[in-house]
Amino acid sequence: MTLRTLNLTVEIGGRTICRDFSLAIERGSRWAVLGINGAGKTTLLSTLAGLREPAAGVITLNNKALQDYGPRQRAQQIGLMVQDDHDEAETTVLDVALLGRLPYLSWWQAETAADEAIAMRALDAVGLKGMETRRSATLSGGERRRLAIAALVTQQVPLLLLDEPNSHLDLHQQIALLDLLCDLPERTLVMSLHDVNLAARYCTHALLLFGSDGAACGGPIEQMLDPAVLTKLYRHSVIAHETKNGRIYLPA
Amino acid sequence: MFYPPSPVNHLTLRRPFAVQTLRIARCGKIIALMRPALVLGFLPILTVIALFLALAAGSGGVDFNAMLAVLSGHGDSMSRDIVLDLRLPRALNAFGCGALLALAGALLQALLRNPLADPFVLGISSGAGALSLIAMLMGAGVLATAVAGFAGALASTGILFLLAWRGGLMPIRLLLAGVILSAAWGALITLLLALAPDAPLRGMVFWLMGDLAQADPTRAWLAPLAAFMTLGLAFPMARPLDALGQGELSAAALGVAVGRLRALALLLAAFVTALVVVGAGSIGFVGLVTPHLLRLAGLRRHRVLLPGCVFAGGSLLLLADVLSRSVVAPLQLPVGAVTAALGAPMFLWLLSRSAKR
Repeated sequence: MTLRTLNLTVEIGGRTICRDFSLAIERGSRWAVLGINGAGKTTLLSTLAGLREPAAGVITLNNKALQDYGPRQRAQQIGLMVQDDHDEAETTVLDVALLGRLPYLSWWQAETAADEAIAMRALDAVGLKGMETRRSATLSGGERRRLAIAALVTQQVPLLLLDEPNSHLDLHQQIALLDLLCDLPERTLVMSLHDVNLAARYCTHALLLFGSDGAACGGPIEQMLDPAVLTKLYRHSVIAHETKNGRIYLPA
Repeated sequence: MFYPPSPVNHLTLRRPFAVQTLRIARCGKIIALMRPALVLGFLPILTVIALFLALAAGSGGVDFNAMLAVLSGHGDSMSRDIVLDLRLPRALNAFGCGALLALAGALLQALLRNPLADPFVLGISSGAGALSLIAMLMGAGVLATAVAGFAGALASTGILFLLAWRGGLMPIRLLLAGVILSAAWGALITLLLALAPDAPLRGMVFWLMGDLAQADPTRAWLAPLAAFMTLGLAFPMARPLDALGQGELSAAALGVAVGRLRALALLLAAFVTALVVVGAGSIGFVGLVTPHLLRLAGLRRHRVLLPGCVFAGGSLLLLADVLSRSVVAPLQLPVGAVTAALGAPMFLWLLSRSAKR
C-alpha cells in the first residue's frame, strides 16, 4: 500500500492549504500532520481520503488514481477517523463497530457471524469487550475514541487517516490510544497531532502545513522536527531540550 | 478469639454468588442482543390485534362475535356490509397511512440527523394540503383533488431542493427552508379557510385534521401496498442511514454516497407524505413519535427500525382510528385530532426522558 501525491494543490474557501505538493506515504510508516489551528490539517486528511477533490494534482493509491476507485473500493483501502464524531442514532457499541463492515456488504446482506467476530475482536483489542450492548452515546470521550478505532480495525483497511485522535483525552488516555494505534499490525497511519512531543515519540515521518501561501513539506521525523522549522511552523519560538529519555520540544 | 475466614470457606461462600452474577449479566446481554428480534416479532402480532379491534369497534351494532362470523364467511348481510365494505377498507387505509407516515418520519429523522423531523416539518404535507383545498374550493372531484395534492407536494419538494442544494442537500438549509415553506403554506391554508363558503368548510376542516373515512373499498389495499413497496425501496438505504448517524464525513469514508442517499431519502419521504395527505389528509405525530418509540424499544438500526415502522405506525393509526370512532360514538372525531391528543403528551414524555439521560 502506497499513497502518493503528485503536485497536489488543496484549497478551501479561497485559501491554499498546500501547493504543488508531492510525497509518498509508504506501507507501515506513521506520519504526523502538524500545523497551527486552521492550517488545513482536516481538509488535507479529507482530501487524502478521497472525500474532497483537490484543486490540482493527483493522488494515487497503489499506482491507481484515487478518483478511479469507487466509494466502496476506496473504503476497503482507506479508513478515516473524524475529529468530532457523535452518534445521533444512539446505537450500541457493537453496532458502531459493525459499521466498519459496511464497505464489504451489499444492501441485501446481513452481517455474518464472521463479521461479528471481526467486530468483537476489534472491541477486545481496544478494551471495550463487555460493553457491546451499551449505547455508544453513554461512553466517555476516551471510550468513544477507542470505539472509533475499533470501527476502523473492523474496516480492515491498510491505511488509517486520523484527525486528532487524541483530542479531549487526558495524558494517560492519549498514550494508551497512540500505543494501541502504533501496535496495530501492518497499518499505515497518517494522523494530525497538536503535540510535537507525541509526534516525535510515535511517528516515523512528519508532514508540516505552514498555513500560508500553501507552504508544506514532509519527510523523516528527525529532519522535520528541527526547532528552527517548528518555530516557523507555529509562529512561536520552539526550543529542543535533550533529556535522558530523548529530545523534548518546548515553547520558548 | 478472631479467626480469619479460611480461603476455602471464603471461596465456597463467594463463588456461587459470583457465578450467579455472571450468569445474570450474560443473560442480560443475550436478552439485549435479542431484543430487536423480539420486538420486531411482536409488532405484527400488535398489528393483527389492532386490526381485529378496528373491525370490531364502531357504532354499527356489529360486535366482536359478529365480526368473527363475517370473517369466517358467515354473518348477516348488514354485518358483512359494515365489516367488509366500511370498516375493513378504513382499517386498511389507516394501517397503510400510519405505516407510510412512520417510514417517512424515520427517513427524514435520519436524513436530517434531527430527532424532531417528521413528514410535516418540511412543508411537503402543507403544500399538498393547500393545493388540495384549492381543488376542493373549486368543486373538483376526488381524483382532481388527489392530483392537486400531489402537485402541491411535488412543488414543495422542488422548492426545497432549489433552496437546500449546494452541491448536495444541506440538512440545516433543508430544515430552515422546510420550516419557512411550511409556515407559508400554513398561511395560505388559513386564508383559504377564512374565505371558503360555509358549505364546503366543514369538510375541508375535517379533511385537514385527518380523515380516514374517504377510503374507497375497491382501492383500500393501495395504502398497505404502498407501505410495503416503500419499505422495499427504503430498505437498501438502511445501513447507509446507520452510517449517516455517525456523521456525514464518517459515512462518506465508509463508502456511502451521502449526497445521493440524502436526495433519494428526501424524494421517497416526500412521495410517501403526498400519498398519505392525498389519501387521508393531515395526520400528525405518527411520523414523529413512532420511530422514537421503536428506538426506545431497542430498534435502533434502520434494518430493523424501518420494518418496525410499518407495523408500529400502522398499528398506532389503527388504534387511534378505533378511539376516534369509539370515544363519542356515534360521533366520529377527526383521527388527526386523536393522534395529536395522544402524540403530544407522548412526545413530551419522550423529551423529558431524553433530558434525564
